[in-house]
Amino acid sequence: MQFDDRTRVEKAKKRAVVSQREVRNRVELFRHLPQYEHGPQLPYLESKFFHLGHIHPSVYKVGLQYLTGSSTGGNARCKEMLLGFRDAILDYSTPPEKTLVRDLTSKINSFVSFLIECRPLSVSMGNAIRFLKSRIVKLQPNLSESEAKSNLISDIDHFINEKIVIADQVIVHHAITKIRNGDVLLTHGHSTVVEMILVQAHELGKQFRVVVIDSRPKLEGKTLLRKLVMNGLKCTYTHINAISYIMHEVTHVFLGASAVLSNGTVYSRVGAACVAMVAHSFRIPVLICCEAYKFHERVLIDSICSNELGDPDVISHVHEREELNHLQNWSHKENLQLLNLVYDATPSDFVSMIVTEHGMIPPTSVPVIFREYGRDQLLFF
Amino acid sequence: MAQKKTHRPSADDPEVERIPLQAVLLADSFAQKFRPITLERPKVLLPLVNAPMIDYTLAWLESVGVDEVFVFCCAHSQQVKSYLENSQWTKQPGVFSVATIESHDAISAGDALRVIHEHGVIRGDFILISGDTVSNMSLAKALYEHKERRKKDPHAVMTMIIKQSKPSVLTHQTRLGDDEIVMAIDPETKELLYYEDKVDLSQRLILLDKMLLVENGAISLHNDKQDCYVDICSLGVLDLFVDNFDYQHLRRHFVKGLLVDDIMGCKIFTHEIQSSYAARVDNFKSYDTISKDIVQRWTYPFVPDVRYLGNGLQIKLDREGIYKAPDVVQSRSAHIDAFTVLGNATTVGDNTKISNSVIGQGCIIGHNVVIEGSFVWDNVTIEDGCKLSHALICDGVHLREGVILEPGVIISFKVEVGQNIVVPTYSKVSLLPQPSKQDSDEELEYADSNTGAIESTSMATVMNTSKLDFALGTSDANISGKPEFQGSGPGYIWSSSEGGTEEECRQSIAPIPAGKLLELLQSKISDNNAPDQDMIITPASGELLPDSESTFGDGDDDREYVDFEKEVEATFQRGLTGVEKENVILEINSLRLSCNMEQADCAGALFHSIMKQALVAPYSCKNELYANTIKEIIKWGDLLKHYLTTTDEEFEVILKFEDICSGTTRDFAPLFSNILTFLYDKEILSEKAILSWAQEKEGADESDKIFTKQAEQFIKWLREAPEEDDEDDADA
Repeated sequence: MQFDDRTRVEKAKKRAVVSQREVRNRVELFRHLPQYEHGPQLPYLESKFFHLGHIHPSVYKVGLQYLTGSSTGGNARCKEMLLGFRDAILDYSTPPEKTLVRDLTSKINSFVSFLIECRPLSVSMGNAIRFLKSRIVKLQPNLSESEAKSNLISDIDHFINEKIVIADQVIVHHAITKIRNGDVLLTHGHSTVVEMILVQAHELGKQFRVVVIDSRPKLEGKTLLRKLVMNGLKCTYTHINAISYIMHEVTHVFLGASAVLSNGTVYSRVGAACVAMVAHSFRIPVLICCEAYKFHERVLIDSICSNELGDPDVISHVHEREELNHLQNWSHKENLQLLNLVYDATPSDFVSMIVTEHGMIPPTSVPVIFREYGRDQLLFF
Repeated sequence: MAQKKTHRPSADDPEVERIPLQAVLLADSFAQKFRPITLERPKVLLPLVNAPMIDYTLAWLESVGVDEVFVFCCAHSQQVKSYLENSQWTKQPGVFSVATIESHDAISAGDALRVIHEHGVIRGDFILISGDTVSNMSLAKALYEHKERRKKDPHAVMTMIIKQSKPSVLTHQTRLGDDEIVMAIDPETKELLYYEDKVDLSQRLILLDKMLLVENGAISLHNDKQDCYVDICSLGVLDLFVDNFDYQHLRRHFVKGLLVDDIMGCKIFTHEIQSSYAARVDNFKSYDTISKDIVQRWTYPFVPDVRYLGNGLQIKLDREGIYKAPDVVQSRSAHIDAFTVLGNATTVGDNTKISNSVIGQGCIIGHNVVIEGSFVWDNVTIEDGCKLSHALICDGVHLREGVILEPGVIISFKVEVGQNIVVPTYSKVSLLPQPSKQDSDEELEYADSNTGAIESTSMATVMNTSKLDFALGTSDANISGKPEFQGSGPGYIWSSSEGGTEEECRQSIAPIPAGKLLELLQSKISDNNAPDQDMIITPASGELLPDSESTFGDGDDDREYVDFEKEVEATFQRGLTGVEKENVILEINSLRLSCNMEQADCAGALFHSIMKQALVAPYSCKNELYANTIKEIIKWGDLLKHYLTTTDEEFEVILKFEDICSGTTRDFAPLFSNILTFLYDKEILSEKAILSWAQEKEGADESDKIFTKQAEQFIKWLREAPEEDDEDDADA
């Protein structure tokens, strides 16, 4: 949906469960993206808990987690959502004079629109929702309600297990072959797959060093750093402004991704494109680790068309430096706009290889994955 | 930051307007933790990443705007003075002046401050710091706070600088091997209310005076703060030290004294630093940690490659924290790893690997040497094939081919280690012998010059023992059959300090082994899970029942108690030889006061002496022993009763008795219940004490219950007895 289309936004607002207030100083270029003020939704949702009867409590919980930011990361968010739906399906019973297929689909739709109001969907979640809906549609009409429900639940379990858990293990298996003794690996932010790769490679006794690149405002790299250090890896931690200095030492760059698009563009946490670009100019291979369920047929060539806006307030604060408060009350200054993008798109030129559970492929071969494992196969095993 | 003035304020300047900021730098730690190295060189001149520690302190003092520094030297004062005279600190013109104050009788920080008071050079607020502190913090805010507080409340005599230390598994390594500090701070005013630096890890228990809770609205208790040992003091602090001439240690006596005794309403406040660095080199572990912090640039601008006053060389910083001085000769095949400092004119041979280490000036390192996590000072020769891990090697040491230093080894000045020797972990080797007798209380890092001369007779014996030590550690040394340390003079292996291995591995340069760390953690966890912690806790050794004082228990207290017991026994012996009973009581009382013991301790110690006396007379069977004991008890019962005023003390006596029976003299064991009955009959012990003892022991281990079982009948009889007594009373 284009959020600069006034009439459509008005309509959407009427339907909305979550009351959204819009940010005052919008950035012109990103007007088409949903831009809501962060903060007031949470207490509002909390107060409305008993009035939102049609939303299952588990889904509600997931929505709140998205809002507060306590569950982040493509895999984690997708898993949470599916588990929420699983609970909802368990408790579901078809109302009289309705069919399960139709009613459940509309229910899932209402859940999804609630989740979107909490935070825009990621590609991985979109794929998972599409998978679930098609499974519902394809249910045999002669199945009893309990059988249908158990079918759907086992489908969800299969999806989580095969597309996320096992896929990660296979990716780790593939990626480890690229780590040699004496390597210096660089990573950005906090990707769970990359973390698994590094920890397992260390456990296999490979001698290497890790450079963790971090960026404000989320500083997710700190979490990764803590976990790696706990596991006894040698680490260097620095911020993205030092990327060109540190890149001299690096032998491989490992990045996670939020989505991989069919033209080979990698859609990932903001900053990854910069890291990939610097690595490319230093002739250092960039490996993207991404499960195949995050692939999407769409084509993206910039990070403007499709993106997510974070809370602009967080970039006005500097962590542990309270005295740097020059941006306080920035929203009252009319000629100042803050932009906190959450994702960016890395062009395929800067990506050397994409590691998926189907193997290691160059970014130009993403369409091959679609063809060979097809959309149907990809989603319906 | 205090504003600097170009000229010195003269006497006629109005004092209110401008008082030069002064600092007292103690160039003596009054401790022995760096022995044997400090026998030959004062601690403040020991190199910390190739610059003497005192340089870091002075550079910092200059950077925070201190105008005058008084360096107090004691041990090796000549060395300190001549170093300062030749350094840039005294040569450079300008506002920063360094003066030395010398005294040879000072044996503690307290004495030092009294000497400084005599000199009368301090005119206002001053910074008290020891010469081994590394910091880069800005004092402006702390000074301002201190001054503001002084205006409102003249009793705020001191501001202590503290910093946060993170309580996690990883930082157990970086807690500098210090004792765990627990402090209570008023969250509003930041007043320090309680300070305890010797918290026993195993006990997980501290005792607070309940008045603290009564008097203060809120208290925050911290175990996550580090004491930086940087204090901003007012002039009153010196007066306090003069008035209380028994104050020795800055923290143990002065701070605790002020907090506990409430002298003239003086108050101590704290100032917490947030992101800047401050730490003190207290022991080898903190030496290691702080060195690494300097190399990793936490102490910026006081890092090797920045020219601050004191180091003149231009050192180059390479990637991954490798520092190289200009004239380093390094073989192409040598592998220098991250966080290493190579000093000027050092040579590194082929295939040598150096990581995480600091190498001093003019060192010659041979081929195929492996050095990790070690500190090598100046002019050291390391021949081919040596392996060093987490060792500290002083100036002029010569390691011959194939020497292996295991973690935690300290090698003092000019020692030579022969071929293929394996020096076992935590050993300390020096050319000087270990002083046989150590003053237990306050020590100097002060050596008589003539201890340097080694007598040949003593040498032989020491060599033997050192050989034995080696035999335990490795077989290698014995096979080679050569004397271990050859060359300019044989060395001495220092035996470990009283602390034992626990202390050793906490304070050594080597990282705490993972297993040990796990052990420490587990003991903590299990302690946390321990069901209920009574107010009375028996330490693991089972040596004594701690009273409220010694619940903070540690090795020191135990030792003090043993000393005390010996003294009481000696006094008692004098009592035997005819000294009047009253005098004995008087003497024991004064002993009690001087050793800071409780009444109960006296009772226990006295009882111990009596029982010992009973053993003196010859006996062949236990009946004779019983008779002897009874005789002694009758003889000294009155004296003992003098100390048994409450059940607590009687309780202590029973425990002591149990201790004697199970430990030192087993002859008493079969007589336990008999003697106990006799003591009861003689009204030395009340039934209340015996019963409470029995009750206490009910929950104990089987092994602990031997004596309760023996006395079972007697206890049973006692339990029934009260009713009779009551009846008797009623009848009467």
